Amino acid sequence: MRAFLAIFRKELRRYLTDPRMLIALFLPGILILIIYPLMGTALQSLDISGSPEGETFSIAYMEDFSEDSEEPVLLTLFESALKEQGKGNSASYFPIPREDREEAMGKVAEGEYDLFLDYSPSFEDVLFDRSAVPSLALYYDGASEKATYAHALMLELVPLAYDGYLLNQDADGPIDGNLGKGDYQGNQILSFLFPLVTISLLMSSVCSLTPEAIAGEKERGTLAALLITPVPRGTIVWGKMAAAGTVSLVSGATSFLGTFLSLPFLMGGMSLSAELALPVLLIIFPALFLFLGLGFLLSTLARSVKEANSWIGPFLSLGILASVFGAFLDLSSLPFAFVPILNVATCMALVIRSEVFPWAYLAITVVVDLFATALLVFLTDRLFRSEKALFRR
Amino acid sequence: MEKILLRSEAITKRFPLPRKERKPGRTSLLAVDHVSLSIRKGEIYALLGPNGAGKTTSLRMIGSLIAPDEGSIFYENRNINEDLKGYRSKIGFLTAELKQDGFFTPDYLFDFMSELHGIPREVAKERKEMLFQEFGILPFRDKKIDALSSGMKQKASLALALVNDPELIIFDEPTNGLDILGAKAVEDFLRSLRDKGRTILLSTHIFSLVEKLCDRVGILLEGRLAVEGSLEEVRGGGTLEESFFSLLGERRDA
Ligand SMILES: Nc1ncnc2c1ncn2[C@@H]1O[C@H](COP(=O)(O)OP(=O)(O)OP(=O)(O)O)[C@@H](O)[C@H]1O
Ligand SMILES: [Mg+2]
Repeated sequence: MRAFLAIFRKELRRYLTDPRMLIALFLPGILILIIYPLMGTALQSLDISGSPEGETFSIAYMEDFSEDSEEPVLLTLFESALKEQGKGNSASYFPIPREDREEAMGKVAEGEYDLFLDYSPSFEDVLFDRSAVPSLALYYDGASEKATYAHALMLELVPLAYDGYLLNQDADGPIDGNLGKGDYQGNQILSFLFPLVTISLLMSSVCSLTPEAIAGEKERGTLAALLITPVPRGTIVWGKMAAAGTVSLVSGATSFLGTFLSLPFLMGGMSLSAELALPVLLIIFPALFLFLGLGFLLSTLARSVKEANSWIGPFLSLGILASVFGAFLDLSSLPFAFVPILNVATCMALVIRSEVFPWAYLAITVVVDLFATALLVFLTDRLFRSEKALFRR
Repeated sequence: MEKILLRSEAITKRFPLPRKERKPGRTSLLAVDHVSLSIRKGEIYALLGPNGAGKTTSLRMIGSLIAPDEGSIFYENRNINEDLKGYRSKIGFLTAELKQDGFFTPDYLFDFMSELHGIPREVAKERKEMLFQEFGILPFRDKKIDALSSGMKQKASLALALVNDPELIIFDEPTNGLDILGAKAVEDFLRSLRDKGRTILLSTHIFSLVEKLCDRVGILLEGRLAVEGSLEEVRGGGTLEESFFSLLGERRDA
């Protein structure tokens, strides 16, 4: 026990007082804090929100769009959309008599009008009483940035203005058709990003812990000094594994915390709901131990830190590949839960995006990963007692 | 005649050959071939041999790092396997390449190794002060090994090998890769250990080291102990080098 504690303490001390090691262990948690908000910003800039400022859009529309309304609903919406953006944009409107239709289209091409709403006669009346199929064409100059923007914004508003009369509408106004709690699109993105980021960061922190632990001692020749002491070999390797396990638990917890703190910044409002925290933790920790077991096994086999790293590398890529597979392929059938590493990514993705909580998949994943860890630890323990592994040429 | 501290009885070690080098009927390499040597208490014993003769392998077997395929090792007439823990607490093992974990200080590593050996804290503390004083480690005892010069590192490694105050010190290629000053320091270290009644088993391929330092010598050729005896006996009137090459010639002819 004294020897076990001495080894445990020494390893902990190395992990927790070596600045390089500290960075490797706790950087993931911090990186996550940066990565998600950054990705959020990047995703948002793909949005249409990069609007011009202080512009006045000239918008023409067919005067006879309705028999009794003053202004098309679409324009009211456009006006309020501009106001909501708060970028000082405004619009002026030009009703066009039917006989001037061709002339108005010419003015769009010349840039006088940014947009021309070409309604069929009595468009709104026909639409609202559903007596026939009305038509609306939006003409704009695709070479002009301003006109392109006005067109894109208007296109977004068309369904709001007119589909709304047919769809998801009651006396009080629009109804949110989403009866669930989630956001499908957001969950799709998250179910890809989350396993990818988590797995690659966890694995890379394991990569920084394990090669040094055994292969490093072999390389320096200090392993012989340990082995020559009366301490049983099992005590040595267990002391090392216990210390690495403790440290990676802490490191895993910080990554997890980082994730929960930063996710709300990814595409505003998107977050892992609190109900998902426990399942995600349930997946992360066995996965962490699995990677750690793998790292220790390879470290025991390898002759040098370099060799250990070169062996762990492919597994890191495999983990990343697995998270891509987990997101894009349908691996939700239970047999896949029996494949370690692959099941980690898939299970995280399923927990995030499945409509029905994947209890069975989760349970199998946790059990399989813990079992695989036990197997790896057992093999490491065996190998550590084998002179063939320790004094390999 | 002095008391025999350690003897090996026909210890043998084979290593599987790499696949490419295998031939029908030859799948393993006989690295150490029935070596029986005996080391007396209080002497410096040299295992002398060229590269690949099996010196490191023999020393590792005697140090209980690897197990012989055949044969046994006796310490004070008891098979070491009967009480491996007890045996390990009485020996120390060193190699010239031995590097310490650069992240720790000599002071910390000494305490750590003492814990592993289960040495009572009071005893360990006293021994540390004594050894650090003796090796001149006091000025840099709290500096990380990484920050030390190679001479300081060497001193720290030597002191660390003595945490358990071993009766037998096994030293593989003690002066390998050291400059004249480093080699001299190691030689002085070994002599002072002998003066304190410790027994030393070292391996080397350097004739002059053996002539300067050792009481008895065993010559290892291709895994076999070709001769063993006191320095005078092995020299047989000539130099050590002469008798080595004549032994080598005999083996080649045989
Ligand atoms: N772990 C091992 N696996 C395979 N072969 C080995 C192993 N250790 C040693 N050998 C082989 O056994 C033979 C003896 O090696 P050993 O290292 O004991 O020689 P040595 O006398 O110490 O040589 P050197 O002076 O080069 O250190 C060599 O042919 C070596 O290649
Ligand atoms: Mg050698």
